[in-house]
Amino acid sequence: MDDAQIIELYWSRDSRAITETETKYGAYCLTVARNILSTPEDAEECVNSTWLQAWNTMPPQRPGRLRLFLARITRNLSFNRYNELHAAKRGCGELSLVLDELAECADGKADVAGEYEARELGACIRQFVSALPEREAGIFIRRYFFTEPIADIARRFQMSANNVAVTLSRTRNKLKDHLRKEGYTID
Amino acid sequence: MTEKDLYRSLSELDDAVLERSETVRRRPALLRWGAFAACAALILTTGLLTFSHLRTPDTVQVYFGGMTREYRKDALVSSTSSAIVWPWEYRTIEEQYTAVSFNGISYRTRASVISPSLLGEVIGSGEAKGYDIYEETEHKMDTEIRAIAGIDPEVLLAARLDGQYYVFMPEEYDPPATLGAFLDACRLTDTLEFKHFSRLDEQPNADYFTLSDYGPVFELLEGCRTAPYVEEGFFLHRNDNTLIFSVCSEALGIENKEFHISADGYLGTNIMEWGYAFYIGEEAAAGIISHVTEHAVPTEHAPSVQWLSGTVAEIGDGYILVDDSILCPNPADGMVFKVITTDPKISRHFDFWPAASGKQVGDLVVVEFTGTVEDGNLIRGAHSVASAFLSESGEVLVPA
Repeated sequence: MDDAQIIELYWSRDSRAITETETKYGAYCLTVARNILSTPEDAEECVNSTWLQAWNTMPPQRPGRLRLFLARITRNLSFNRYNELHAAKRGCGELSLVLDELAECADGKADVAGEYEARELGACIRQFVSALPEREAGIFIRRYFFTEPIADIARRFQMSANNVAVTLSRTRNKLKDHLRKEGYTID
Repeated sequence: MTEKDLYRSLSELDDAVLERSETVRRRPALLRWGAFAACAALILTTGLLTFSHLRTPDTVQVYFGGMTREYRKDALVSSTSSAIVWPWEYRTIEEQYTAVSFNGISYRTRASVISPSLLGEVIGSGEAKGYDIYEETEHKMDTEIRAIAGIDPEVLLAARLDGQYYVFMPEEYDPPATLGAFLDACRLTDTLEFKHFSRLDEQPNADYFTLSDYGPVFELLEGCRTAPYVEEGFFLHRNDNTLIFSVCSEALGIENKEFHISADGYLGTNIMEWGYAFYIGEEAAAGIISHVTEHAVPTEHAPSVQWLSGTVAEIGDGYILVDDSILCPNPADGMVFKVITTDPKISRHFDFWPAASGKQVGDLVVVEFTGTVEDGNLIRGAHSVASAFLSESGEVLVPA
């Protein structure tokens, strides 16, 4: 079934929407969750919650790319779950490394509290990524959006793991500069 | 703004940008082994326990450094890498200077030292180059270039860095047209050493075999000199009916690379990093498979690198103590290993700060080493240490 048909099922409140989504994107979403959460049970739980959230958001939403719409939900749910586990000192994984790497570009002083500030930061990141060369942007997104292991990115882009690490390191330096120019204070 | 804010903010990226990142951007018409090797390393590390045999439903026997340990079955080890790059001053010389220019050709390092006895004459001077991403500075220095064991310098050469010679290979992909050209270019009959072989479809718990004499295998390969190079054949024809040989060569700067023969007539190898394949024909492949099967002698799997997992119990001057009780069904059965850390590749993990890689007492680590565990649980051959995390299910995740 194509995505438009699945979305129509959601809009007509047909419960087959969830079955069809799970069949088509279950493995994909599980990969997204597993990159963030090292415990299979936690990852599966987040994927199941993804279907529920998709059900609750369509309608009113009608995503242009269903796969990425679901990936975004899974990512957010998994990140929330990660934070719960991390607070309880459990279940670290690839995300711990990703956050360590991103810490180079953060001042670490306080959470971005309000929705406005969060959107502003999001816009700043969007602008940064859109200005990157395509390949560099791709590597950056695989690592920091999809939380993919370096080895997987290396395989995807036909690069050595070391080259991926160096590319990401350079991109983080650029991000740091970009954030500074946008008024963020970074050491 | 915290790192979590940054991570969260990436959710704002446009679909189109995310989608573009899903399109694989291959380099022109080839598959590069280096990337696959990273993946293979992942599997190998994950296989730390799968190379061992089940002892009870809840435990496994793990072999490393000539000793056997009984660990919890759920203490699975998987591997990943951090994208934090060591600062210039913490890198070893072969990590600093990863490229060499010579006679208009760019070479990249194989990070492998070569003995003087394998070196040929001095053939000129080149420029070694490295890049410090922290200072955004390119480092250059002149380097003496020497030939290797009669191999054409356009295929491999040795460059002198800090008193030792390291193997470099061309950056550009330039596969030989035939197997014969490949055998000659790398002088494989003289330089290549076969260690053992196994069946791909039996991995990761395969039985390993060797031959008392690999001469006949080379003779059979010599009979396939006209076998043509097959683009992208390395992966396409690496199937269940494949024998995989582990090979090494100091002259070529390789350790535990792959040489495989598939029953459908393909020979593949990654000894030059890129995945090369040649079509030798089903008959020739059957001849080689038949010969090695007939003369196979059982042997032990001999990984070039071994791993010890455990928590850091003490950080001393030139050593650390690693306690593996966290992996034992009964923590009282844990053992403490003394790991010598004089190798800069290890000591930097304890010296470098503020990177996240800094290790402390109580951290879970995986130590990569060569050689055996000596009396008193002493490990001298350690050359890398990685952070690890223990999940609720007991899984150890290792960022190498």
